[in-house]
Amino acid sequence: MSGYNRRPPPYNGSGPYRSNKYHGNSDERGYGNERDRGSTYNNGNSYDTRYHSSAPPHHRNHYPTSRGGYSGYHPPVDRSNNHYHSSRFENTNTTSRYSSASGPSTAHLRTGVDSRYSNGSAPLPITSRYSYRENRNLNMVASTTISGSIRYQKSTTKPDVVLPSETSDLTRQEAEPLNANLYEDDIKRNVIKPILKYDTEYFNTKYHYFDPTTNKLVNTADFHNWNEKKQFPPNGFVNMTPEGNLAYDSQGKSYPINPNESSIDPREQSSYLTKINITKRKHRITLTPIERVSYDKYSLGPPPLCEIVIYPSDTNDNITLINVQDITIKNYFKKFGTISHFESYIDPNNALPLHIYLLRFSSPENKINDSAKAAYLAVKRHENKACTITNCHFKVVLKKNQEQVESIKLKFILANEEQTKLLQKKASITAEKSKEANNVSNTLDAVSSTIEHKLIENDVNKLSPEDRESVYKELTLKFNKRNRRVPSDLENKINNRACLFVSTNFVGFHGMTRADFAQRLRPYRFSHIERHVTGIYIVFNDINDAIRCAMKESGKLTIISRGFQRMPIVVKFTLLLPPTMHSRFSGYKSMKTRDEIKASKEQEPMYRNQEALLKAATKYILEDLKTALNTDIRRKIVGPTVFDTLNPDNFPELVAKRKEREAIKEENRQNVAETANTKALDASFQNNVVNKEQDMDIFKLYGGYLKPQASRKRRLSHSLRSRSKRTKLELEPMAHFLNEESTSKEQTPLTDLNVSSSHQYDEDESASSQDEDEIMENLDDEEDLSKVFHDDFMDIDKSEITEGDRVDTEPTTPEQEGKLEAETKTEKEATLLDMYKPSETELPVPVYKDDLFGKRELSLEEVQETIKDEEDLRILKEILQESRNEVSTTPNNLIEYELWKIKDYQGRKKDSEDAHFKLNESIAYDNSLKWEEGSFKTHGFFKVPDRLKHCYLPHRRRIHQPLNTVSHHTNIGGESIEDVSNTPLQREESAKPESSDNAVGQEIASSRENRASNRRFQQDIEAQKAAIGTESDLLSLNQLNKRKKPVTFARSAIHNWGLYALEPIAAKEMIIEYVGERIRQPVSEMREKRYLKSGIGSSYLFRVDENNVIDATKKGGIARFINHCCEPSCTAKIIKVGGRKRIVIYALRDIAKNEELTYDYKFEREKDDEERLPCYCGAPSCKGFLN
Amino acid sequence: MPNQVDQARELAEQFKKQGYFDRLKSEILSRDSNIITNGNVRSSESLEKILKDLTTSTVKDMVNKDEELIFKNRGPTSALVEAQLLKNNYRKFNEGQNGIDLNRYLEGCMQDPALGDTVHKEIQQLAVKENINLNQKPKST
Repeated sequence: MSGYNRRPPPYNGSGPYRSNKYHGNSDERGYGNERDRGSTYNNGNSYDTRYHSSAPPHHRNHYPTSRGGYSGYHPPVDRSNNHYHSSRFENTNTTSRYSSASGPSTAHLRTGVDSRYSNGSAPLPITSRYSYRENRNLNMVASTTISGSIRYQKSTTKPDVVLPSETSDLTRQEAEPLNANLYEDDIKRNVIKPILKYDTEYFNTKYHYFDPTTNKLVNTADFHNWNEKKQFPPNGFVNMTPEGNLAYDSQGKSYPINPNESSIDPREQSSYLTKINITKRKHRITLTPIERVSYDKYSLGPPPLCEIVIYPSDTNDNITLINVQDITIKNYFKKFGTISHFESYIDPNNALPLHIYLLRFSSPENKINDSAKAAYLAVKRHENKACTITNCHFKVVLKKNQEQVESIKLKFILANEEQTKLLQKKASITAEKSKEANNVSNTLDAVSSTIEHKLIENDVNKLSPEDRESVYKELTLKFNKRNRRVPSDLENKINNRACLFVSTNFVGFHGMTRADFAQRLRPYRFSHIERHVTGIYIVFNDINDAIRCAMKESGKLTIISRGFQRMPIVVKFTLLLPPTMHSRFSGYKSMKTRDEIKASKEQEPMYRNQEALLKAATKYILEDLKTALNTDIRRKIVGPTVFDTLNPDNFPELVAKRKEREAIKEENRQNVAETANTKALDASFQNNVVNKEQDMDIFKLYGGYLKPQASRKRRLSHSLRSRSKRTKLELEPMAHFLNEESTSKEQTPLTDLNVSSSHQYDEDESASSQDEDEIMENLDDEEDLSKVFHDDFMDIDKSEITEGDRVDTEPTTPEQEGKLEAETKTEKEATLLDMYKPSETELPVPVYKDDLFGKRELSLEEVQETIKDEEDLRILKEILQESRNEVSTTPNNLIEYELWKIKDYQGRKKDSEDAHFKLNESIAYDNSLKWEEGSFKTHGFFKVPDRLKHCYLPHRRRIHQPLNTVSHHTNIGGESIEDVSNTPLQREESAKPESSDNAVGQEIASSRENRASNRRFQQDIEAQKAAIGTESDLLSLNQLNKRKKPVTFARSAIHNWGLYALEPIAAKEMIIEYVGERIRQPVSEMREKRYLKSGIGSSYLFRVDENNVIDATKKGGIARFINHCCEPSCTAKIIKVGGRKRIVIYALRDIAKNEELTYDYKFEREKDDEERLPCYCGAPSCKGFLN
Repeated sequence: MPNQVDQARELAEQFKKQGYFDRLKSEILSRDSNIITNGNVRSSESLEKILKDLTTSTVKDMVNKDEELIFKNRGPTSALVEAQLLKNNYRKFNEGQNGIDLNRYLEGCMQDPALGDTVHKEIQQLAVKENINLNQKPKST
């Protein structure tokens, strides 16, 4: 019931231990009996407190609550009377309700039925300790009361008692003997008067049974014995021996009981109470902070505070507060949360800001706590530390109510009022003082104020001179005491205008810029602001504006200083009036020097009379007229005339002459070239070498076209001529003629020109002959020719086709033709004579080839060819005459016609064949492919063997016949398959020996030497690297570069460009490294797609290993030009050099010079036919596709 | 910079503005020059024509001496030739029988009292029109 262990009360000898709280002798019953403490009654009978619904009344902690919440109070015990008797109890024995010898009946306690009511008597009032209604379980009440008692036990409230010093007469010592048996507390209680509650008649009659003031039981008539009917054992339900000397507890343990021994309240014995009463806890000064309960929609009460008030702390100056702007405050507090409302309060007296701000934080819907949190944080942050904004200190508090804000405002308003009063007082005092001291300045100010007044209204210029003078004087005195003036380098810019000046020291210290002044002085219409070493100059177009600005702003304008705590600084201007006004009207020292004045006077001529003026004007006019005439003569007469005169149309004769000369020269060139050609042709007749001049185009793959030699010759002549002219004639440019520094003035440029021009004609003629000689010489030297022809060949029209050796020459004069013919004849004769000369051979060698003999069929032309001389003709005639006996003398014209026709036909046929031959790149068309019975198409389909396909398929030729390599273009014509073996030799012969050999010769060295030099080079590099210490990319050496063979790129028949060997390469030799960007596999995939998208059809990605790829698409070496071939000449290998894998191209077989290098790309076989790339390698075993 | 504008200068400017100046100039160029050539031939043609002819002949002579002139780039060549002609106060024009001393002629024209009188008169009229009075203070800029 109570929770604490209660020892059963000791037996007091009245019988078996029984729980008989209502028992007790009348004598011994009483509240406060020691023996009965908690367990005995006045009659000495013990009772089982366990069954007590409450502590015995005498126990201080079990004081009835009827008296209102007593705790730990033991009412005084009056042993004389049985105070505890209650009329409520059945046992009307006045001893007490505990008094019944028969033992109190606890039935009602147990059963919940008040036995008092069992006998049908009226319900007895019971104490409020047991306050319950009828039929209520007493246990419940007991528990309540017990708990109440415990509550009382534990409560820290003080008992409603009066201190002894106040009320009681009895002292403790006095009271003690009276209450010898009482506890100390009881003793105390005797002298303590209780403060009663529920001391009303209603309670007294109905509920109370004890009067604390009198310490007497009341309403004893209502008391009755709880065990009247003897239902319960007299000692209660206690396990006791029959003898009554031993009791058994619930565990069966026995313990002796001594009835005489008074029971001890274990609660008092134990330290339980002491523990409760004595605490080691410190006294609390403040309340324990408890966790804040978040406010939500279910919360009751007002929402949490989300407004803060910011006001200046006392440590601020007024000046610093001026700088504070509302926006600054707002921005400062934005960091705590979003601000929904911002209010700034102003002083109603002077409309100045009070710098008191009200901020309300807002929060999104359903999140009321955010704003409260923001406000709380804002306050908490500045609780201990002052809020400092722009050097001003503020206090931040939560706004609890409007009165708080009003009070703060009022405080500041009052403070402001006081301050103004103080200031006014000070001002008046100082005003009085200053009045006495500064009378003069006041007058000046007054004057100036009037002047200012005038100025503001009127224009300075419109003032009378005297006023103006005085005004300027005043202004200078006021605004330019130091007599500053505009620096000389700014005079041009300022241009004698009024300006305001601020010194650079001031401006620099405060960090003021032109923009600051521009912004502040905008209303004054200044022209511009100059920044100078000396300071800032604000220039005004109108002097009135300058004066007005100076008046209004100087000494009043404030600009925030960037260099001094961002405080507003008053700016004083210096007014710089234009110097002329200054000098004229102010009477001050003139700015100008004497020289300046003189100069100005000179510039301002004064004319005595009109005549002088007119004369002067006339003089000016005439001077200008002369100048103008000269100008006009130059520009309008001479210039255009010269230009027009120099038009070549004005000199047709000269133009014609020139043309003639040029034509003659060209003809000469052509003739010379022709003779050279014929010579060359004769020399290379057997070898079928085409004129080298014709095939120097590196870019013509299938071009076997002859270039018009005429144009070439023309070009040749022109270029040669110009070159020679430049070098030999030494003409000076015209500008030199005009050189005025020439010593001899008599030698006019024209005379020089004359001299030179006369020389020119002579030299021209000589030059022409010389040129011819040169050309003759040059023809032997192929280099020069090639150099000369190189550029020209690019521009020549490709469409020009010529037939064989026929060259279209320009029409020449008969004389020239005759000359030419004569020249050729003489040459031919020369060659013929050579033929007949004896040869030094063992066997006689016929002069003419007799390859015609043995042929069965001879064409007419061949027959005619056989007749070389008259002897042959005579012999032929004899033969014919022998066969025919008669000789017909009649001429047969038809025969001649027929002959002519035959010859013509044959000639044309031959020409066409030659043309075809040349078109076919000098490869003869195989006879088996010829179809002379009409069109070739009528032949029908037939299988052409591969070996014959090269006749008509150019791309089939290269395997066996390198085409169009770098330097063998000259040797294309007339080559056949059989001549493959000869071609390298031929090429070597015909190629430019010097150039190619020179180019290659240096590189061709013994491989051993090469390797040795490379090794040495590598060692050098490494030594330098070691010397440097750090790794440097500059000293990196690609060793593979040293092993590179001389190769070059050129147009290829396989595809676009190809790589060609410049020298013969032996098999298994390293040729070149495939260089490019080293990228990873995924990158290469991505790039491949990108390249395809961007239209780069060729793939330059070369795989090194699984993860690495070399991409030479955008960056790479010339090895990227190597094409694929199904029968390659090279192969690619991956070798490790310097720890890195590299792709290197090796020769699979011996590669001839100028042969294209090819290797097998080894693409993966594509299943999709659309993705297969066709192969144009032309190899016999070509697969047809790359992949 | 002088604050006061020279009145004479101003007058001259006014004279030009009125167009008298251009008129004089064209008059000099187009009137009968009566210039005496080096060959003591008095030419009655205008100065402009004489100059053109002289220029043409001189240039032709130059071309005859150097044919390449016409075959070269016309612009720079003409500039060079022009500079040749204008050099040393038109010395080139003073050569040959048909040559004239242009400089002297021009100076003679300028010093012609008739011209001076003409100008003087016109200026006077102009001054009267503009009411330019010496007694008045010069205008400040």
